[in-house]
Amino acid sequence: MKKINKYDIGLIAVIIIVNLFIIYYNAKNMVYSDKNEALIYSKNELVGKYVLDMNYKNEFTITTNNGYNTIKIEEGKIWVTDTDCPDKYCQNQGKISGVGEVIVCLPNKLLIKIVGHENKDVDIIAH
Amino acid sequence: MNKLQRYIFLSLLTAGAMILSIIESMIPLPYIAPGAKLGLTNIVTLTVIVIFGFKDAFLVTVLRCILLLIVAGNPISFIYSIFSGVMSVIVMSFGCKYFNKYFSLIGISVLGAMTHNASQITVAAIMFENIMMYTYLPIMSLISIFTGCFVGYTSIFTTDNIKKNITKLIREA
Repeated sequence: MKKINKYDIGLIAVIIIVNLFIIYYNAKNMVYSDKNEALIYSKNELVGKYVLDMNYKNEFTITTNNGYNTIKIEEGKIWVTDTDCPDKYCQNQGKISGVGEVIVCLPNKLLIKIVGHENKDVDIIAH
Repeated sequence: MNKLQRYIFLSLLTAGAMILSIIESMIPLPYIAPGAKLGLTNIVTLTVIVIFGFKDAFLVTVLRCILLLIVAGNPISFIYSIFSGVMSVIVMSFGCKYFNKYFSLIGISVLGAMTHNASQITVAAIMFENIMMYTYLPIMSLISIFTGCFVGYTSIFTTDNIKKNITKLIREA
């Protein structure tokens, strides 16, 4: 069996370029604003909706029969501070605030996702 | 190589794959993305594909997942591992069959590792009913290049050694 050849290097280069482009594109289109909303789902059900305002502070715990997650909101960011799940992935995913970012906890079936504020105000009224 | 020898060989490889996945769960890794792993079991899968072919690799993967379910007792990770394992077996054997002129085992294992990650994210997206899980896909693919290179390089050595041993077995039989 031969060692690495030029086709392998080509394949790897193409994958790296495509993925870096996608990451760059996602980062460029990330929307940070005061009016983003954090939706918290537990077992696929919406359990909480919070506006990530810079002055809003809150800390609460979501408990299911699988375990608990303590969630903190401060300075327009949301993150998991404490949990009893074995892998602690949800804690390690850090603070999120941009539209489209998510925090997941697989053992406790918890999902936090950020959505943009829907602009429901009427722009103009024509008579 | 008769049927019995072949089955003994395959069961040894299955046991090896199972032990590799148990060891893999003990290795502490820096956190990068959910579900990012070394994928050491891909070494065994790739070796079986090269030496025995698609059918046996499929069998080894499914048996390994079921054994791991019995040993570790985690039904959720069983769903993840069986789906992603089967998908990567299909892709890697396709690559071995039709692209072996171009790619060495390193390229094929990179493809397999990428399929593994993509199907794991697909399962997560189905379980959470959330398409946003795919935002992790680019990062996971970049990581899978490193793990794929490592796995491919290792399986080049493994296949060489096992092929030598098998030719010895055939000569003695």
